[in-house]
Amino acid sequence: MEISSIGTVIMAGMVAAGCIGLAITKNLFYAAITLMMVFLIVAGLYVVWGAEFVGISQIVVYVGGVLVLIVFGILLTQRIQGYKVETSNYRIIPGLIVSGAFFYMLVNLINNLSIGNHTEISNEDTVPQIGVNLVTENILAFEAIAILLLVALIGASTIAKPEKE
Amino acid sequence: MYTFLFYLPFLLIFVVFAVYAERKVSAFVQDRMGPMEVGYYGLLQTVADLLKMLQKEDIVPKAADKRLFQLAPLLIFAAVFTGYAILPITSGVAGAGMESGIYFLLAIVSLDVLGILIAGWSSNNKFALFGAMRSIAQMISYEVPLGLSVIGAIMISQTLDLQEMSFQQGIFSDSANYLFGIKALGIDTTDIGGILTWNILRAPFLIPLFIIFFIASLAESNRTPFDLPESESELIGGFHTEYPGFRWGVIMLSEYGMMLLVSLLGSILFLGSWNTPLPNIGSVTLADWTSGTPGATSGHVWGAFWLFSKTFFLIFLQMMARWTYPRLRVDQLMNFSWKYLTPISILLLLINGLWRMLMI
Repeated sequence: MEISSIGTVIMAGMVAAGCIGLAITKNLFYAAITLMMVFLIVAGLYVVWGAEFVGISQIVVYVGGVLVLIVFGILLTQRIQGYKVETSNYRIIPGLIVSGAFFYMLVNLINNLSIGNHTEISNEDTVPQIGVNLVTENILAFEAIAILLLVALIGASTIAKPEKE
Repeated sequence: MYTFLFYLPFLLIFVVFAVYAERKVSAFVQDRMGPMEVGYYGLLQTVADLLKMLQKEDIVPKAADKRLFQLAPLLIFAAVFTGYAILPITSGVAGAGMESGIYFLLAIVSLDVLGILIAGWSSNNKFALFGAMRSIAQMISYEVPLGLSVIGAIMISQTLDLQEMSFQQGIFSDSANYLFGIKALGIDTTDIGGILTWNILRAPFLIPLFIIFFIASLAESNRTPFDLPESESELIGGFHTEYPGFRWGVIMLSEYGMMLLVSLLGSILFLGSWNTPLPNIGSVTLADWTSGTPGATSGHVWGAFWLFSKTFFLIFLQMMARWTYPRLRVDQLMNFSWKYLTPISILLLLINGLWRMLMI
């Protein structure tokens, strides 16, 4: 086996284990930490598959951005407000049925998938290519996201503004 | 590989001497002598302190979350130390040489926020939690001006690879360099090298951006005047209040590691990396004499010498700032980041973009 496929197997196993742990644990804070580990390993998977830039973006967006905010939120509600945030597992059997069905669907889909002629993409100069593509072919999506983020920023500062008497 | 073989032992030795230097600098600023007893001129004081620290009992508070409490210092150190993986040391040693190097560094280093958060939370102590909250609010806020100032240097260099960025800033550059980056001036500095081809002089508007970078990096490594997270007089020790002995040592190690990391990054991005500051003047080819050959021993020695002299100079500035300025208030800290540093760095970014057009 190639070293990258060994890495893939190990990392995929860790992702699966992390996800199960995430579902089982009752402590919401542990769940958030496990989620971070899962995100980090997924980033590692991207790097193993040669998509270095996507992997790092995964760290920036999910681990660094979203997750820190989630953890912050949990912490503030738990220790400062004085009550414990806990989860427990309800409706285990329906949940297992739904997730099993979904898993079956995914396996089926991936097995019957025809990817077509895929060409080997060279790993050189991906960053300039991403940059050029962002402001030429995908300029509309880029601008739409920029406006969305601007709206979010303005919204955040409006909410945070102290009300005048 | 170089990271473990070179930076790990280097970091350990650096911390011992940085703590000593910190005490001496603080003593000279305050017109004292500093540590004088242990070893010649007090040189072994930190070693003695280290030995004492290692013997301390590893205590976990009863009401603390044991597993997370023990994990947190390692998480902080891992996040900071991973950042070293992509730093070049000399012209022949590029580190991991990733194409998106600096992006990776900023991503992975920002994860130490999580370690601090876990440390503060799992201690189950109000002071620790306050410290952690202040620290996170501060680090997330100051990541914005830090990132913007780094983008300024990236825009001038047109690459995310730190080694490529380093090569551009000296006499080994592939492309032609002009004075202040302006091609129309027609003064070719490619062969002159030295300080004239450093990023701060390739685009002079990087100088204010470098100052912003320096300020933000002080905040990122929780140094005075931005040391609110651990302000001893108010919060005991901030997020590491409950940590004893070795685990406290690991936290301090990552703090000094962060200092070294941001200083290295500052000298690579703005101050010419491992390139010599001395230019070639006519037949007095100072730059050639003090650069060596890339890949050969002379190149390694000169490269590492220049890179670490610049880094240690920046660390000295950080120490001077620590013992000169008083601590900011929380609201001043936030105002300073969001109302001054961020808008100014965005404006400078715009100017740098225009400047880059002059360089083509």
